[in-house]
Amino acid sequence: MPKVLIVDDAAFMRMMLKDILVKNGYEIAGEAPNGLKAVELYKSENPDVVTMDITMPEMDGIQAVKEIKAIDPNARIIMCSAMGQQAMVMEAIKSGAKDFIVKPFQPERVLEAIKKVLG
Amino acid sequence: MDMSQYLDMFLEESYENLQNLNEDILGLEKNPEDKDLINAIFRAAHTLKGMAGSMGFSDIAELTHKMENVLDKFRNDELKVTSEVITILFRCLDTLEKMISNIQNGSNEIVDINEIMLQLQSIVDSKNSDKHVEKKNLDDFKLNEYDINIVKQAYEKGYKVYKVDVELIKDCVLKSARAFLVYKTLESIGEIVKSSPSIEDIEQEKFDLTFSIVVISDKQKETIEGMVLAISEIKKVNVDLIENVKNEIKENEDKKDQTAVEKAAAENIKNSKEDEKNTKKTHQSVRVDIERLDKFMNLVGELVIHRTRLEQISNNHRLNDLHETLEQVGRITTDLQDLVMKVRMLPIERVFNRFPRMVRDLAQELNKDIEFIIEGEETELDRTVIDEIGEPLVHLIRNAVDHGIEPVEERIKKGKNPKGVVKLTAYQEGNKAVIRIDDDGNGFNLDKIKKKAQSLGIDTEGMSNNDIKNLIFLQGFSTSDKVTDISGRGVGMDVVKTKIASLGGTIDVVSEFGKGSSFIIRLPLTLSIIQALLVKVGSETLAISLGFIDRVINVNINEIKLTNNKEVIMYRGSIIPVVRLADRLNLVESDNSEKYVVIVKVGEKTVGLIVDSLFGQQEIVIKSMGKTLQSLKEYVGATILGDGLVTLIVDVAALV
Repeated sequence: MPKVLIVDDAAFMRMMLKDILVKNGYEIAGEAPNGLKAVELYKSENPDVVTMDITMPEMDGIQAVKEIKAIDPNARIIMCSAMGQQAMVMEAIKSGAKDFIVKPFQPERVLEAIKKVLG
Repeated sequence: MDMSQYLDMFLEESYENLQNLNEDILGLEKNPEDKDLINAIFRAAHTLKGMAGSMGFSDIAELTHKMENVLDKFRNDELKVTSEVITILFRCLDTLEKMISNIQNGSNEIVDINEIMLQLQSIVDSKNSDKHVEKKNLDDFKLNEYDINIVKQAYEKGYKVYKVDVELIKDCVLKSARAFLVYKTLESIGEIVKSSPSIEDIEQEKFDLTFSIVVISDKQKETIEGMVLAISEIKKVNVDLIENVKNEIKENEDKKDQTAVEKAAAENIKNSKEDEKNTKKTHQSVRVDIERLDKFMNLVGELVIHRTRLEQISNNHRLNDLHETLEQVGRITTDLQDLVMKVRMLPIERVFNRFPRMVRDLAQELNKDIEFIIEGEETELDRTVIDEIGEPLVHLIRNAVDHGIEPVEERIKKGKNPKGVVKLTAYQEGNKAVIRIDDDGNGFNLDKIKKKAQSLGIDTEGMSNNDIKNLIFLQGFSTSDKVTDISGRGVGMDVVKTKIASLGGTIDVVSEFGKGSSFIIRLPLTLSIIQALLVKVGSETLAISLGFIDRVINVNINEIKLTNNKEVIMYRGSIIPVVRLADRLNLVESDNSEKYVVIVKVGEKTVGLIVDSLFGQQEIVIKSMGKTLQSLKEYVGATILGDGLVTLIVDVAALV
């Protein structure tokens, strides 16, 4: 069962993603409210996929992508973005994010992205 | 998807974000150049938008989106922070709050957002109009000489050149980023010669659903197809091997230029991202339904009651073994109590937070210049108190701003600083939390209060100045000459006092005419479990909260004297008025001439309560009296003692 690390500063968003994933047979490796915690959890939990919000306190999603990529160049990270964050999504892609999903989340899109990055 | 299960969380987090927005925008007005603040505001608005969108509250999402547009202008220095813009942003927040509270109340009332949307749009338009997104038609691929050269070289080295046509799904959002992802993916397996539209146009979303990229790679056609298809939201991909590259037409831009532009764009993104870094700390926490905490508290309360009963039984039967174990249990329950009490405590910040905005609005409305200072917002209080204290504080602060602080001209005439100061302070004092509201305004006019008292038929003869000032807490007492929207209708101060008393607290006023006034509120830190002194009046056992008790003395009935028709005792050179509990509570006093006086302090007032005997100190759990007995104003509740006896707890504040 692939393990997913959910990163978002809104507990609400994390809960939604978690529900979508768990219902579809994914395991949750952990939840992080900011980039700092995400990097920490990435090291300890070694998840298969990370869903990464962009705007977060402490450390934003882009910096977190960079740091996680530095630890594991093969890390699979999916950005969670909102409309209007185009430039930041591109920056994240440059930093090594594999895909992105756009809020408001549609469960099928979330699942498609995750399935695809897992190959 | 059923969203109702998320509603509570959505509401709570939305309110939190709104609160942050309120604070930060207020801060922004003071420091218009603060980039960190702008970013924090942007982030909060953004989070709100995301959540509302997910919940299907499209109005909220739309409005926050518009707000973001304005904030973005701040961020890019395209728009100056003016108080006009701030006011519109505040209006936005009010609208959002109304919408969210409508959702909370299940109300179907539709908040009209058109007007506010237009206002926001006018801000955005005022500086520069929306970028026009031109959708370029996709022409055929045009390779210039330089490109052709590269392609030729590639062939010579055994690489293949592919033209990759990609079509995105219809409702794809962030098309540029999506296309960019494709671009990046292809770049990872080879070299990109050209794209149509150009990479800049792709970045600026100047394309419809399709775009093409020419890439040099040593990979197979199928591999490339597979890689592009592994990206989500791609509808179709078509990879063609290019063999004939000669008859292509020149185009002005060459690839070098593109990369330069791309670099610059990347630089830009980096810079704006740097600003994104944020300083606000978040702490680890778990959200718990308050009902569960109440239940927890209640259960701990029950445990305490039964522990006391067990202790009593063990004492009665002199069971040493049991006694030791019970002591252990006692320690644990005490810890447990402390813990549950702390869990229920919240910093008063939650209440204080909304005042800076309120004072700002009021000051603007009244044309006064006011500095509002908050101190000790980290002071913790029981959740119930936090929930209830807001309303009385609103009243007091409004009063301070409206009646306390004088208009600017008047202050100048009096030689005061034209800027008035209103200060809100919280701190802990023993087992009480104190909240003070100080202003350096006009203070209370004693003569005016006396006159008003006379007109209401209150005799102020023999009253201390302090007592006279405290008359303002009586019903229907307002000394304001004019009634305004904000305050002065004479309902209020008595409501404030009643509310605070119901929380087991007291309020006092200290004021000097011409210099200012202070309201001092003292509140218990926790509500449910207290240390109490058990006393006997006649055959009845009563509990008095230790929090009020200053000392207990022994007196003979002859020492109680009469002055002004009121009973007093002399104690260490001061005269203390006394209240016979038996009379007040309709009990029968014992004939014993030796009595005890429990001296209690309620705010600045000291009063002695006469009781027959003392029974000891004990931890008691306050149980509310329920609806039927609610009219008994003399008691705050009841408790169950170790022997199973139900005992009433005296409401000291109501008796003195």
